[in-house]
Amino acid sequence: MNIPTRDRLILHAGMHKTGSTSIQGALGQRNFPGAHYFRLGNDNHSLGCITLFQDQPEDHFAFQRRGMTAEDLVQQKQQLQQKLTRQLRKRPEQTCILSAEWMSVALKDALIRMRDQFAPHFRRIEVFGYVRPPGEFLASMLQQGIKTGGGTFNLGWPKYRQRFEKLDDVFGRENVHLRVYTSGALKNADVVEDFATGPGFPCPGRITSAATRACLRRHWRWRSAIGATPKPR
Amino acid sequence: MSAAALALAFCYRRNTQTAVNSPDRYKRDRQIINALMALPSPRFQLSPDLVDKVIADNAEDLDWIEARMGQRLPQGAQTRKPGAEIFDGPESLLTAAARFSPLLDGQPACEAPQDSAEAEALAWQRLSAFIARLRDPDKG
Repeated sequence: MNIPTRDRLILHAGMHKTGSTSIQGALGQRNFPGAHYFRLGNDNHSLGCITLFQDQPEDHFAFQRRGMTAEDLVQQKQQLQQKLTRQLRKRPEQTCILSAEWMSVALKDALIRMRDQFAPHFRRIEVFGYVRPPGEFLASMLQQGIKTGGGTFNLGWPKYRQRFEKLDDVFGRENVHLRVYTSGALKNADVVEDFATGPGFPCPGRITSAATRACLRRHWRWRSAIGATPKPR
Repeated sequence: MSAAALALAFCYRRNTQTAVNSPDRYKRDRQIINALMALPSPRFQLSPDLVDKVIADNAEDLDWIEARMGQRLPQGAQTRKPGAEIFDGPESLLTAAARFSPLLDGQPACEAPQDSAEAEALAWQRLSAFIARLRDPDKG
């Protein structure tokens, strides 16, 4: 069975610490009508993308932490490839979505592999990314670094050019849409609603009606972290 | 993440050399971090002076993204937030870890040594006992 050509692929590229978990939670709850969010075993597709497109994925800290070997990942890559192909063959939607903060830190070669995998099956590939101002990003990354294993006071600069210029190169600048991530800049101070606006989706379903408790907790944590005033929904 | 959680997690990272490279260790590590994250305390903030310096050091990169986006990025984080615990380096994290370490025993935060080595030793003493209790709740 051939893979049909679809209208467009939406790539959500993070960056890190810009509400990606909330977006992925909403996408995972199928809150975006008319679009298929790929099922790769996790709402966050970063590890799936690393497995599929990155050289030597076994060197990635997330896999090392889990004790996964190169052999494990070769097997996992085959399984993911099969899942992806099956969805590309069978899903009826004209729009597919992949969301992985990894895209903003991936090497250019890996992004080219990803583009080349999808390009034959979509008429357009568009990238959407959020850009967090540096002051907030520094604090957030210090916290993340310590939480996930760092024992140093490391203020990691976001390296904006390194993150986004390669996306422009690989996908074409006209296809890479960057938006500022602050509560004031987001539609209704809500990153999920704001993300839906970018690619022109209908407003996503109410989070409270469909989301799991975990998804809801993540969403409120995010709103609290950016200082957005909670509002009844 | 609260100031207490960040400071104590920092102390924990500095005093444990074990690489988190297996599912069991990963699970154990998550358990400890999650327990620290449950501690009540004020939020933390990076020192505005420190943030200003880092931004100045990376002005070229900031100029690039602002040109790419066609707009200035807001710089609103560099004012002191009322009630926030200010961190400006590893020493301030370690003294805060000592100050907040009584929370691990259900006690209120207290004064702590200003010397960061002394503060770290004190915080780690309480923290390692807390971790032992997490591992074996019957102890202590």
